[in-house]
Amino acid sequence: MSASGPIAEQVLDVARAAVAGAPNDQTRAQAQAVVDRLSGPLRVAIAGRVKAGKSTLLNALVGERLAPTDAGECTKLVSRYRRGTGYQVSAVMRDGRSEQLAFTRTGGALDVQLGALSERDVVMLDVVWPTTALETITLIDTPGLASINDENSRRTREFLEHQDDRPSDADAVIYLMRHAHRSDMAFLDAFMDRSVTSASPVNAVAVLSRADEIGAGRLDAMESSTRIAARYQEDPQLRGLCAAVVPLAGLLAETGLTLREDEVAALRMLAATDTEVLERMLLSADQFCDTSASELTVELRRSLLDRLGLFGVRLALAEIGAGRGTTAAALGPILVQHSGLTALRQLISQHFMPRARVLQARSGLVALRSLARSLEPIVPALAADIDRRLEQLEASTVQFAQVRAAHLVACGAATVAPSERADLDRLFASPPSPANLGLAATTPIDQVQAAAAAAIARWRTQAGDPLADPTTVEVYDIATRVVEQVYGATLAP
Amino acid sequence: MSNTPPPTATSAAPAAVASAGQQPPGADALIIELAKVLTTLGRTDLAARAQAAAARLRRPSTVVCIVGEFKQGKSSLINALLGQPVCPVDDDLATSAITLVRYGEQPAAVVRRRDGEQQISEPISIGSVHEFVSESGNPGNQKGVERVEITVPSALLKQGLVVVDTPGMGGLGAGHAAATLGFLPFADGLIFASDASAELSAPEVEFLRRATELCPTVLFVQTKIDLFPSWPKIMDLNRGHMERAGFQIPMVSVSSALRGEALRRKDRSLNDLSHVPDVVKHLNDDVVGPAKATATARSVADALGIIGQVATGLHAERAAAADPDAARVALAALETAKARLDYLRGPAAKWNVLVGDRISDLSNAVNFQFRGASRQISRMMDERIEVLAKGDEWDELARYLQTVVADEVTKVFVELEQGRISTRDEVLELMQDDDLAVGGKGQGVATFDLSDLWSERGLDPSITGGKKALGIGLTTIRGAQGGVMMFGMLGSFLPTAAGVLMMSNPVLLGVGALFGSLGLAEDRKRKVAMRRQAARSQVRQFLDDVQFEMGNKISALVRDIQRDLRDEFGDRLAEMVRTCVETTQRVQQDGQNSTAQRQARVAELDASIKSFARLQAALAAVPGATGGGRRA
Repeated sequence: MSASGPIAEQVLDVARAAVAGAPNDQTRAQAQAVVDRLSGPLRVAIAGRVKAGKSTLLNALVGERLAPTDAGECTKLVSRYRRGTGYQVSAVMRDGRSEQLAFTRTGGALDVQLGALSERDVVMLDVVWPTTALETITLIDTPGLASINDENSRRTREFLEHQDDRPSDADAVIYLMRHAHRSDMAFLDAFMDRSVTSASPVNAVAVLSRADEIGAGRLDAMESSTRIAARYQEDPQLRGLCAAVVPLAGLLAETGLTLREDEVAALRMLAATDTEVLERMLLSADQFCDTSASELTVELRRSLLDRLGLFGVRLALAEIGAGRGTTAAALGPILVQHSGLTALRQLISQHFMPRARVLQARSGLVALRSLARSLEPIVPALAADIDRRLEQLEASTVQFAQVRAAHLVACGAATVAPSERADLDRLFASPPSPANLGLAATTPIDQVQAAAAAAIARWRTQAGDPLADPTTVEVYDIATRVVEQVYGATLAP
Repeated sequence: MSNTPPPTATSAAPAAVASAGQQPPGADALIIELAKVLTTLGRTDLAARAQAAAARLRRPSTVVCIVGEFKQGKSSLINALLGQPVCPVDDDLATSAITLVRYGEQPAAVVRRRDGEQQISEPISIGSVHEFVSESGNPGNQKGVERVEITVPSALLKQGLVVVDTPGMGGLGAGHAAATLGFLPFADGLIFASDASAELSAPEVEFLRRATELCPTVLFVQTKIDLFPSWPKIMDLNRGHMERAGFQIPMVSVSSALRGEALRRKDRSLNDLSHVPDVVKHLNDDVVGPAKATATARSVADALGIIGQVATGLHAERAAAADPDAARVALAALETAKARLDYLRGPAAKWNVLVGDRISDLSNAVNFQFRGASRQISRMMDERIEVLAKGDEWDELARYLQTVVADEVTKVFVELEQGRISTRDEVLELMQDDDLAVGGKGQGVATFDLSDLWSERGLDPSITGGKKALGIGLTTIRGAQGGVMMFGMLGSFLPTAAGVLMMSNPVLLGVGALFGSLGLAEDRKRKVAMRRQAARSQVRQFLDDVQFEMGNKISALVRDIQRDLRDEFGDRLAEMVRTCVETTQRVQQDGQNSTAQRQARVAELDASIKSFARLQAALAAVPGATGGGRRA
């Protein structure tokens, strides 16, 4: 009951019962849709402006070069990457049909042949790939926004933004931006501008992508972008739109995960070059590929640059020069570490996924409730049973409330003092446990109880403030409830 | 003429002309020579005018704006062009205020900002510029900075180039695009910067389209090529986009970082690889060159006018000195000429009245037109707000509002400038008529040719080569003024208008946020209605502010125009009166001298006349001297 999994599980149980008892095909299909959504992996869309590095991030998260990337605008269709037993690519057509497609791989990246199909009729490419990376998460790559080719941007907006007749197809969004651009705001805002059940700043995370380039590829570029990300995270406009902002050098992450020994050998040769010559080579991409600059072939150097970027090359050479990372096995992880991918993964798995799950359960619950209403005239017993179980479930958990409170704080609907914000954020971050009070799991029970009692008093006093507006009072009430549950857990046998 | 005339000042032959054997001297040298001769003649007033003409020729003020999305390396590009760190550059910070960089012997900076209703301009140290022009030092433009002006010693700027760094479009601080667009019609050239990380985006192409309408001389600069190995490919893609969009814009790829490194190492080959010299060349060929041509035409015309006037005086004196009988006639003619000029200078002269009338007409017409336009904008916004639903639509609308208002503000300045030009033309025509009526003809040698005054009439301004901008005659204001008047505009009027637009921005965006957080479905309808109301009143408030500000600006500008016109004609007439009076005095003096002295004087005068004639011929032969294209 107190873990995030069970909430979704419990809703899923209700949905399964609804499938079993459904009196006709239509209601069965409705219930089945809830089952599918809750039992499947989370659907995470990767969105952003043109050339923000969306496909590169997808490859980094999968750990394999799948999505084609290019200097020019490249992704033209919405593509879904999910786990399956075989290798398969199909096109989901506008009329709902699905067509199997032929594909080849060039340098690892998929090259899909649409054959006789017109891009216009294809809603989405569906890629099934047997990889563990896609076990808990289905990734959706989207064409860039603000593209010069308006058709591509339209596809993404259509896919992600709210349409009145159907909920958004993604459970959560990783939004890539190179700098916080006004159109980025507008997009996040549109994604958020929906009913509270599915959209909230808590299930969107912003990534400051191509972070190495922001710092002009200098060796301290990542430190610089980390600072920028931190500043953005505090920006009132952005804070209301996404849970966190993290920097990422996507190319470096992708290459770090797929680094080959021959590439490291070439880098080692480069590292042994005369310092002065090397320094000049590293001034610019053109200098690096200058024919006479090195004994390595221009093609080889060019491919190193394409794989690592100027920052990656500079970093790799510095690491090799310092005697670290002289093999692919050693250098790869160093690159990944510097890329910021580890931090992003952690954010996704610890913060973002559990919350998205709760939100997913919440929207499943809403769907089941409306299903119960339509079942009432046909099978009143089933309808009553669903209703009862949903009510019980809602009453027994504070998790929905936590997400809602987090949402209200994040989007600024509730006005809380900056000094309280960190405490509230922590309180709403995870299912009730001593961690919500900033205590270690091993803290003795009496200390947890003392801290909880103090916290309850604190939030109750706040909630009792006669001048506070109703939304803020609601947040404090929820805070009180969460701490009460933490306290309650200590009393359990 | 047996005795050689004593070497007097008047016989000082212009050295430049005398030594002209191999290379014909430039207009610059000729006019300076003229100024020297005039000084030795004691005509400091005319010498000053000649010197001013020479200075303008050497350093025609040309304004180049650097525009583009934010974080595209605009400030770095300026630093690379100047070869020194002038504009603050940072990974994070974006430029948030318009920054003018111009030539100065000593590095210095002045910030112009506004505190409530007051406009303050205060010197700051070069090192603290970033506190005023960057988002972090001045978030949301709290300090109310309208513009920062920096002067630095730089060879590039010494030719009169003024480089304007603009806040990029699209940043969170936002909305500066309108202010930037407001500046463009007054720029002689425009550099659009976009980095090589990605091909042009849709908003960039849109901005480029508008910018090229406002300022036809555009250079596309792709920056940061050191960082992106695929820059040639991106460049090709961009070339394709440009072709499809129908732009014909020269393109250069540069690396500001490499340029910095090249200067540090004093490495010529690296410098060439940075391609920054190519940008400099483009600026020289496309912007500074044409501006110089205009300036040459104007300065030469000025100089020729001065020569004409002085030569007339000399001719009159020579005629009198050579023949005592003619002196009486000459004196009578000079007397008449002076009476004529005195009349023209007097308050009863028709032109004086005309200037007053035309200027007040102009002021009324412009004010009326602007009020009408604001009213129309207000109505249109009301209609649009009525059908507004989502936050992002509002932002779109707010931007649109700023753009249309910026257009109207621009139109006001264009109309004022056009009004000024047509009033000036009218005055000249009137004076010509007046002159004929008062002066009459057939007064012999001493007829002063007043046409020096109207020689500039209808000077064809379209030096920019017939490229059309906006269809509201922007070319007129760009070329005709050769920088002088325009600099006045840039210096005091336009930034204020741009400032108004910029100031208003937080307010407008605030409304956007109101719309943006439509989170809860239940009370949506009521809230939307409330927000629409709020939006409407914000729009009105904004338009009110703009109108108030513009009303003030229009009256201030109109006053200045009137004063400038009166001063211009007044000064010119005063010069002529002085020529007239001095000639009269000398003729009387000569009359009392001995024959020998008179003969010596005649020789002197002949030498002077000859040297002026030479100068005149040399100036007329300067390439592009009539490049301004005088209309008949």
